[in-house]
Amino acid sequence: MKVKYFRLCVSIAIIFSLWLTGSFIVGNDLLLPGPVKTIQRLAELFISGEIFSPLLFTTLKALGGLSLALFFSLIIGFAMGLIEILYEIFKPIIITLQAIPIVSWLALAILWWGVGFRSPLYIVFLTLFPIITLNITEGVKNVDKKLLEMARVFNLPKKIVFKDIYFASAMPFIVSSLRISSGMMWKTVAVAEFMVGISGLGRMISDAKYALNTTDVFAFTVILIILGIVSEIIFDKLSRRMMVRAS
Amino acid sequence: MLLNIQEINKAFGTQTIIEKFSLSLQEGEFLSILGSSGCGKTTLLRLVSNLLKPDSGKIDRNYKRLGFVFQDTRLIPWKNALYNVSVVSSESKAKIMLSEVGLMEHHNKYPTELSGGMERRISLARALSIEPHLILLDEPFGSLDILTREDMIKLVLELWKKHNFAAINVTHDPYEAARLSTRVLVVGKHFTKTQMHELGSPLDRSETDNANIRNELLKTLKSVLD
Repeated sequence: MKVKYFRLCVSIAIIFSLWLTGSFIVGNDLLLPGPVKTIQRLAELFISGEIFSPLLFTTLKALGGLSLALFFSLIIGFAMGLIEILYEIFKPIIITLQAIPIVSWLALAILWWGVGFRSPLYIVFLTLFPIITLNITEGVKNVDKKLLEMARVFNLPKKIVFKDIYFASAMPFIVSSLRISSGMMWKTVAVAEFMVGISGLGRMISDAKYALNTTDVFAFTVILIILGIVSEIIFDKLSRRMMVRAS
Repeated sequence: MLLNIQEINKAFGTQTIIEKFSLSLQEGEFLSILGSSGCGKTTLLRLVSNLLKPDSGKIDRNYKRLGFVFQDTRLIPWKNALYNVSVVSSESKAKIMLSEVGLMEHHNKYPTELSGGMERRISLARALSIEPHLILLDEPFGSLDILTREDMIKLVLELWKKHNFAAINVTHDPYEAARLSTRVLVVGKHFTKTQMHELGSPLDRSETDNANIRNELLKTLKSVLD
């Protein structure tokens, strides 16, 4: 464990020294503000409380989009996994959805939902929904057929078969898709806020860009990076626990 | 009659697995079906348990509850031993059966935490917890070491004596068939050639009797395969 933390410290030190060296060489805060300045700005943002409102709005949109995606993915993913006809009908639709570039959604979002809270939320949903759905479908389809036979021989009630066999088999797939999604959701919400938002960290980056305040761009980016890393760690821990249980 | 199989046929594609096979089973009987690997023994159990339908012929089932001990145990890997048994019956019955197979102290362990022999015993406890009239055993001692297998044979006989269920045990091991059965059906390829050995209660036999029966069964097995 100690060795692991030591290596982590080394890698953080490398990032900071590269950043520091780069900012010294460039010598212009407008192009590349250094880590010290960025951390100072971060501290200011937290002390003044300026950061909390955008942080809250971004988190609400990201988690809202993720929850919405998870809700619909569970329904459609299970239906596709269990019923072959639905799988054949829905799979091309879901794959098409997955292939639509985020910029197209952004362009349409302005027209459909306007600039505001809803557009980033729906864009997060639309980005994550296909990924989670396909993963859940895969999980349900991968269910151990031998366990299903056992359930048939012993006449297990449908509720138990669903809960203990289908759902439990899909669980590692659900968690691993959430892990992938948790990384993507912060990036997606930030892009959406940048383009079609009126609040949140993405919007703050957009404002900072117009004000040529590169230090703020860096400070808000650092927060987004931390959010991404923290949520990945949480889901990674969860999925490891699932994998241990499943094996 | 508990089970009556009349002239069933089963093929997968063009490959015949079982041809014109008939068999009947009385209550409390312990029948072993002895045959070489791939002769269709497992398919027969799948037909009896209604996991497969015969292409033709008829299977009359005059029992209410059927237990199945699968070759690969088929325990739910993410559930502990107690849950795996109680899921088919009830917690109280599961606890009784786990005690009878000697695993009550391991009731909260997961299948991966148990040895192969323990997993078989859990699987046996699961099948018995429903108080079956008929129990199907699909090579239940395959891949176990000799000592564990010996313990399992003793355990199955003990439980058979106590619960008085009928059993169909499929195996490729003549010694195991000799140890356990009241009757042994030796089968050749596709069940076309078969020969029945009536043995009487396995509880009354000595080691020497079983050794002699084993030799006889081996001879029969060779002859039906010719």
